[in-house]
Amino acid sequence: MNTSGAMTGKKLYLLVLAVSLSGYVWIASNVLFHNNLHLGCFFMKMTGIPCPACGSTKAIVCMLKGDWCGAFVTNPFGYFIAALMIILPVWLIADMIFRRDSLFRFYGTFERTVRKRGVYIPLIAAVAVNWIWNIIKYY
Amino acid sequence: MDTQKVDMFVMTNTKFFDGFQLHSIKQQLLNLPDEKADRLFFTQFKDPTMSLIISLIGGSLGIDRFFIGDTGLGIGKLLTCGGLGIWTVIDLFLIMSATKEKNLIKLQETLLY
Repeated sequence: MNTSGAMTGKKLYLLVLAVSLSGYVWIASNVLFHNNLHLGCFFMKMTGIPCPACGSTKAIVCMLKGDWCGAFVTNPFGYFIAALMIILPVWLIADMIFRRDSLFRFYGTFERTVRKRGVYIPLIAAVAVNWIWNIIKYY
Repeated sequence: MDTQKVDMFVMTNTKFFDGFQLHSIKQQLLNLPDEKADRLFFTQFKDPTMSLIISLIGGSLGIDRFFIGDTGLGIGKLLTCGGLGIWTVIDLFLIMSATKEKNLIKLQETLLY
């Protein structure tokens, strides 16, 4: 029976590749052309309220300029995204070279861990606090 | 499982699965031992229409992906403002079939254990 909706290794690796590449293109466009792609937060455009991740591009640009405190003030999510943008492509390439599936196995473990109540409640609280802070900063 | 019960299950749960999956589901259920059948009737499936509504409202926050159990993808969407809006729009088209696939996986798990 067809169960192609399940996350497979190939799907995950393609997704990580696509998201990482678009992330780098997005950051490069912001640094080089000062965001002329006219993309951005769909939620912000629809509601006029910033989403929890709004400002993370600016935070990464701050980090590239060496302004680590400015990055935190803009959006602390920027740290996580920057870390993921460095770690994930390297992990993906290492898995491809050594023909392993460690990233895929880690993804499975991560999903199971996040579903535990003791993990997801603090995470949701952190995202909510950051969101409120983001809205306060905007207005 | 007898034919009447199988037909009842398929009729009440049609919206949770893709049309092309129903025939093989029916075949599987006909070969299912009766003690597993009762558990099957208590299994809750995710409604694809509900996931589409959630995708329309909270798609850019990844809530649709959290709803169907794709926690990793949900976090990915949340961290990237819904993939700069592109992933949000793509998911509006994908979320219903993704929900149906998740339901099928849940059904298979119920049948296995």
